[in-house]
Amino acid sequence: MSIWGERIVALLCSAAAIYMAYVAWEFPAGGNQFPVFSCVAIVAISVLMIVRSFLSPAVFTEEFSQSISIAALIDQARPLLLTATVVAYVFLIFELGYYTSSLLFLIIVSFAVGVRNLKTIALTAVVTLPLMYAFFELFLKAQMPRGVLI
Amino acid sequence: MNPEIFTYALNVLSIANLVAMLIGVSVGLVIGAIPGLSPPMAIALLIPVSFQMPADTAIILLVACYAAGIYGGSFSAILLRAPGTSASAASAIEGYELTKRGKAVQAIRISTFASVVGGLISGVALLLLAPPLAEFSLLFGPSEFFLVALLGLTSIAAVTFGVLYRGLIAGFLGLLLSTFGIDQSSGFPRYTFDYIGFESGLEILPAIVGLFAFAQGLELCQGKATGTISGVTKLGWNLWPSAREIFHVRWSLARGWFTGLVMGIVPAAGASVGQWIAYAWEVSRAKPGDEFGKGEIKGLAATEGSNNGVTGTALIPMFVLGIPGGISAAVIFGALMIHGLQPGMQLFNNRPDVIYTIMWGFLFANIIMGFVAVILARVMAYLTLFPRGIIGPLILVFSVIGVYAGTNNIHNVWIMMGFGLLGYYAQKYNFSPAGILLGLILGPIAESGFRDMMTVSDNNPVAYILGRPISIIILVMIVLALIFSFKPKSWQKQN
Repeated sequence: MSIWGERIVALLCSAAAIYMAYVAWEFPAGGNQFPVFSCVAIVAISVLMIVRSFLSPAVFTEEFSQSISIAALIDQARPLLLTATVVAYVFLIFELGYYTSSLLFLIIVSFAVGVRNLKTIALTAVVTLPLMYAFFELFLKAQMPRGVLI
Repeated sequence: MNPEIFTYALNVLSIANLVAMLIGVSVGLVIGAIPGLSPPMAIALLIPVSFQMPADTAIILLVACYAAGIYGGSFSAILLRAPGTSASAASAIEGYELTKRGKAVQAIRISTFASVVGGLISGVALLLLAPPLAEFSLLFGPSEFFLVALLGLTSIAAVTFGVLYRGLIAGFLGLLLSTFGIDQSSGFPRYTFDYIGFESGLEILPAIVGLFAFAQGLELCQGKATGTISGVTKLGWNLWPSAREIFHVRWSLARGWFTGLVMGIVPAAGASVGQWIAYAWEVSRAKPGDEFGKGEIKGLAATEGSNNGVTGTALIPMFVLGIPGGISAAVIFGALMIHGLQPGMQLFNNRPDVIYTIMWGFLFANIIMGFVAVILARVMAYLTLFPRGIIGPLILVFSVIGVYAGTNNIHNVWIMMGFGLLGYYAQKYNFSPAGILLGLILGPIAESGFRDMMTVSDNNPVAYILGRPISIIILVMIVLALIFSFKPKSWQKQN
């Protein structure tokens, strides 16, 4: 980790903890004690992180990169994009039905992340979905969401 | 000790009881291995099946499912870094690292041995020590609960691996997140941010699935999609460890089993906390050459020994005192009542045939678990040979549907995804998702213990703690844990 990275992380953690302590301050009947205690602990550790960055700079061996490349930004955003896809999948479950949505999700995401062997993707979906049906609906008696399809 | 207890051993060996054990173990292993589906759910699922059975057979079915459910969670923890239960979260640290190094089968071998023998030892403790251990657990008051939670928190130091400060922030973040929702004392909503999903608080189930399984799904969808998790293409067949392997981890196993036995009788803490304490203990004793955090089999042996070492003793407060110490025990408690058995010392006096048959059943179920686990482990280990680009999306689908089927609440699916992103970035920037989970688990125990202690001590907790011998013992353990966990000198020197 870089020295400036450590300091920026510590400052961000402190700011978030101070905000949470501010929100907690009004909790009645002693309900604020434990949240405020946790926030104070986070601020205290963050301060220690900053102090350490001045006292022991040799610990931080990485260079702090001042420029941010587009590729790095895309790399950082990929999990967010993937999570957004899962959100869309969850909404789709209630529109199309659980099994149809899961089939579409498995095919699209597997292909998008780089699996080009369509036979493997299709085989996985064909084996997994009946197993899911047998386990959740027949064995657990769970009612999976249905939409216009199954 | 009552010598009569040995006469009930033969009752267990009836066909009905053996079939009940086999069904309970199989269901527990499968459901425990699926992230989002928990042992309490598996037990609850089997209760209707048990209605027509005699009381002892019915409860044997449920305790077998309970023991196997805890162990089943370790499969997915080791193979996919997606623990099926909170009791196997610590095993994901070393277990998955071993899998990545192509040692999945070795990890499963040690896990099976540690769990089966841990369960057996715990079963023997349940059988022989139930009444005296239960009396000991009655001595726990608010200060002891608070201090046990603090003792659990000290193990955060062990799971941070050189980034102690960030690990501690993760632990306190977990404590802070545990305060979300309605305050149990005042009824006032805390940190709900006008979102209805936060009102009932952040449950452990979506948190664990998000922090580990969903985050792992996101991770597997990055990088080379056609590569496998472990990089190996073949698995070994031998799923039972050699004497040499066991000898190598003998003290780690012993420490794990011991921690599990002791932590089992602490209501609410049990398996979730015991595994971390066992792991912290193990890291604190690291020697040059040990590779904690990078796939150290000793760490896995300790956590696996601990989480099944808990299973028998965790039933003691329920059987003897009628106090269910955890959710699984509470479900079994309900089943006992359904079958007309009132837990407590009266049960030992009035129906020794039933209660001791159940205890023997628990013991035998652990043996059966070993055999079934070896077969199932072989099948599950094949998951590590699948391409990352297939396993990743599958884990994402199972995370969503596991939480939805497990809680029947769509808000928990959103919360799980939030935890998933938190877990992914926490892992990437060395903020220890395990620390967040530990804080989340310990938060309610620590807060209620803290507030009760302040009330009963008239706001003078120090004098109160110093006046209670068990509190002083736990306090000494905390100090020792801090000294040894924060400074594993030999390990630091090597790293």
